[in-house]
Amino acid sequence: MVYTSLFATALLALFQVVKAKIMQRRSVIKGLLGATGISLVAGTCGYNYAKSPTGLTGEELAQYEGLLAELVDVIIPPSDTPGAKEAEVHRYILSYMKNCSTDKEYRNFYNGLTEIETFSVNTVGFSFQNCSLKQKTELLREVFNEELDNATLRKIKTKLRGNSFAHLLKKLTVEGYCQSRLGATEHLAYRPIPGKYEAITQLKPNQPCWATK
Amino acid sequence: MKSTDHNKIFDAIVVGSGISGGWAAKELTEGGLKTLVLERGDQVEHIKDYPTAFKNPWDFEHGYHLSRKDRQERPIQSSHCNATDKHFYVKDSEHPYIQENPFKWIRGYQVGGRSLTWGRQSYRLSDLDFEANAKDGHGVDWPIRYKDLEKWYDYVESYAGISGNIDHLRQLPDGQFLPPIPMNAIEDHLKTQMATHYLDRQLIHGRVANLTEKKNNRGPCQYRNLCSRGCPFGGYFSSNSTTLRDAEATGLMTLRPNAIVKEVIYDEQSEKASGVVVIDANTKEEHRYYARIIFLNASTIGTASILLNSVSDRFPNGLGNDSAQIGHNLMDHIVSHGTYGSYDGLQDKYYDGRSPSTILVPRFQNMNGKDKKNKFTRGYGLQGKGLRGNWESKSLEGLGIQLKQDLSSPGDWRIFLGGRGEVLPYYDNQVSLEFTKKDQWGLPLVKVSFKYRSNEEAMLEHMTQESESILKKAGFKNVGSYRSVPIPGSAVHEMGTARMGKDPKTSVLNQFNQMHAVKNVFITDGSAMTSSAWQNPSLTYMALTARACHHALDLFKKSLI
Repeated sequence: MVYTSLFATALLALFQVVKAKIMQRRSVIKGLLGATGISLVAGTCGYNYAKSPTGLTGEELAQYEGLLAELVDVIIPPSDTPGAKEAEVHRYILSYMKNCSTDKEYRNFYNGLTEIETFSVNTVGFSFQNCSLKQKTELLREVFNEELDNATLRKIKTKLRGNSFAHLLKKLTVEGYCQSRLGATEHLAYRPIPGKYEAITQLKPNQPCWATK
Repeated sequence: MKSTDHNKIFDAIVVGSGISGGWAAKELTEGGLKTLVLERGDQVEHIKDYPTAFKNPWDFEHGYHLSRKDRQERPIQSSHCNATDKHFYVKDSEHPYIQENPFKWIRGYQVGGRSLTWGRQSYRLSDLDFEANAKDGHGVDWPIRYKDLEKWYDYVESYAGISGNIDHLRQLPDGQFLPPIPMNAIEDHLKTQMATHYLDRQLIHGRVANLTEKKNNRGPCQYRNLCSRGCPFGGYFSSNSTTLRDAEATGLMTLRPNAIVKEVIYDEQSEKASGVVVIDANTKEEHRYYARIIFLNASTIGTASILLNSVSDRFPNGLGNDSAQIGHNLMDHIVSHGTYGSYDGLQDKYYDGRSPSTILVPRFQNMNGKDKKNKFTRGYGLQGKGLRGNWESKSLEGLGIQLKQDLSSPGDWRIFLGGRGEVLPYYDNQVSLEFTKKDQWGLPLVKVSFKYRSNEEAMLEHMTQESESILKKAGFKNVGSYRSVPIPGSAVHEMGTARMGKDPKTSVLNQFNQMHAVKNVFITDGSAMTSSAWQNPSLTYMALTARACHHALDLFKKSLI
């Protein structure tokens, strides 16, 4: 037990260092994106992992469906094939969170969504949905950059606190898209019944990846 | 026996409808016996009861993830199933058991049992395996050798349909194969590289019960690689698609789902078993069925628990348990480590269709007795698969258009190797009954005590180091391994709880899988295994079952049982 708490203290110290770096980087981003005169409120910078709302019912995320649809569409935007929003990936993520997530995942994801709005307002001066695509992209890039570079530290943190918001958002967007009807059939190559197996074929120019393995 | 019981009298009773029970049903009915097949779970009718077989990924509400409710109901099974096949795995909450040490008891209580979800790897044992116990003194000697089983391997392979290559290996006899499922570019590369770098080991095609050609109105395999959902094309061997179908066609099979066998009835006068007591899983009423031949195929732990619960004056410690070996010598294969690597070349190659097969490096250790440089006896095989990276396996950087393009382009080739190691028979690794704790049918709870020893641990480390060395020599990059703590049961290859042997004092079954002490009871599931060998065991259960059935039919016709 003693070792555990010493260990936790050491970890917290490490997180403080990481957080300080993140704050530095954020002020750079703020400059880049040209935030208007909204001042940073102390303590709102960086995801507040310690925050653990009690009494979550699994229904809280429904109010963020619109925001989530914007987020997934920044991660996988429409091009010559449909984007994640059209593929209804946000619904997939909400279904996962409601039915499958661990308590830690749900809490981290909920906190992440509530704070991305604050983060957006504080950094660029608008709510996320009112940002330009460039601003949205930069904000999300920053969220993803916060993933700790150190693999061992990341593993320990995940074990203590569950998968992070950034990790969950990206992973679920990718799998939700690639397993959606539009993603699998239009962006990837989906063949439910191959009927034969050609073990070695010549890859054709621009041949898309198979949707399932 | 009451006169109203005549509709409960059969020539033979088979307990269990999984991979070995299905074979017993087929052989006994085709031999002309009126046979009752008892299955504790629900009916699963071939094709009709494969509810997810044609579902697309987006037809599942939250992908392949199990819900929190699923995980609560199946805390043990959840590591082995997902949303597409969970209905073929029991709810642990309804079927509790006691783990004295962590042991995953992965179960499929339904008609067809685990033959619906098995890995379909089908390998013969060789005399390296049958002679091992006699040579190094672990366990007792097998009462049979390869020559005793050879024609029965031929027999079951010819019927089941095993695809494979003729490889001329001493430790892995060839069989009656359909054409193999070919290797893809990276698997072929590894095979060539291994031939260049090693004299003592080689890579071969997996031998799998997937039909590369149509057989008896089944298949061929459609290369969907969705086998564990049940195959509507009959593309792989399962009891449902194959043995039970043919047993049904004889008109001699009565199949009773939802029938839990409580005990085998022993008749002191005839010194034989006269039947079984069954509990209806739904109504919980008891019924008795009688027969001259009883085959127990309830799976290794299930069969042992039925025997231990079949207590009589003659057998106070369980039916046929003079040796006190029933429930003991539980084995599984040791798994839980895996090694992977990626390859820069062959960027212009891909594949079309999804292989349900694997590649195999057959056992290459201790081939002539224990090698002095090894810290373990016996050995392991390495199974693997090579694929190009896709959204599931690529490390995906960035976001936006760049990420999207990355998703649609086939990634680098990567390969995976995982060892399957022989576990020695230890008396202390055992299944017992906790008579003070009961399940909802009033049956005592099964208790499993199992620990790996130094031999298994040394083997596990060896297989991982050798796998890394193989991939590095073959030019793979980013070679690494995961080393999970091995949890017994994970290979789903339980064996050994009613072992075959020559001596009734130290074994439960004779060379024909007959109980030494109760000659009309035959046991041909995994519990019969005297050693675990390194091969996936199901094909051996099939061969032992077919052989025992023909022996039983012979004795039946001569009125010897």
